Amino acid sequence: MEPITAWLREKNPGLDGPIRGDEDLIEARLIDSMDFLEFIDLLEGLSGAEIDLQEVTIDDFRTLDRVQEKFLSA
Amino acid sequence: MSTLAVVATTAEVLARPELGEHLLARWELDRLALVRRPDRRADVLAARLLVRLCAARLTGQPVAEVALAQLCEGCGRSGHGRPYLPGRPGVGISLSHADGVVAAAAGPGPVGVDVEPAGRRPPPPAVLRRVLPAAGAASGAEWLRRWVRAEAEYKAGPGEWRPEEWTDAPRAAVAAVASRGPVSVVELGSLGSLDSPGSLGI
Repeated sequence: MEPITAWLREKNPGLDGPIRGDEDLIEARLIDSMDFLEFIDLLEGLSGAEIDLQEVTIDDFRTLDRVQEKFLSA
Repeated sequence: MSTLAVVATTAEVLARPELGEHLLARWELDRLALVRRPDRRADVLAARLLVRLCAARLTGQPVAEVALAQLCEGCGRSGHGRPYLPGRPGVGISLSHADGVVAAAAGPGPVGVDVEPAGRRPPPPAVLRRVLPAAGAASGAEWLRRWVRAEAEYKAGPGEWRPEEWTDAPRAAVAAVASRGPVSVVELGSLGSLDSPGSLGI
C-alpha cells in the first residue's frame, strides 16, 4: 500500500492526517477523473497485470481496502 | 431555447456576495464535508453554486429556490450521479470542476459539461489509448480537447452528441458541452443574481 499512499500524497500535497483504508477516495476528492488513468497505470505496475477496464467499476477504486483486495492481493 | 454554459474560476464564483454554502442542501453540505482538500472543497462548492445560477437563469427561479438532486443510474441511489432539478424533468443540468476552474450548464433537455485546466499534464499514453482511443491517438494539446468532449458526452447520457468545445483563454481552461440544441456560452457576470432571476422562463 505504501506506493499508493505515497502517490496519493504526491497528488495531494499538504494533505493533513492519514488516509484510512476505508476512506472514500472519490468523495474525499483525492482522485479526480483524469487521475484515474494514472492510478490504473500505477496499479498495473505494482500488480504486474493489466486491468480489464470492461470488468472493473468505479467502486473497485473507491477505498484503499478495496484496491488491495481487488488488485494487489494475488 | 439555447443551453446555457458558463466557465469561471472558483474564485470568481465564490467572490459573488449572494452565493455561499447557505444555498446548498444538507446532503450537499454533508458531501462537501468529506472533501479532504480545501482547494477542491472550494471547487465543488463553486460548481454547485454556478449550476444553480445557470438553472435560475434558464428557469426564471430565484437562485435560492433552485434545488438540486442527484441520482446514480448505476446503483439507483440518490446523492451522487447525474444531477437534475426535481419537478423540472424538461431541464437538464451539469457541472464540472478541476483545479480552480468550474463549469456549469443548463438546458432544455439532457446536457453534459466538462472543464479542465489547459495545462493539465497528459495521463500515461498507454492507459489513455485504452480508455479513450480517440484522445490517445491525438497529438499535442488535442488529447485534452477530445477528453473534455468525451466527458461532456458521458455526462449528457446515452445518445449521439456533437459536443461544442472551446478554450477559455483568460481562465486557461478547455471546456466542452453536449446538448441537443444550440449552446450559448455566457460570462458569469451575465447570469444575474438573487435579486434579478432569469428571464428565459422555461
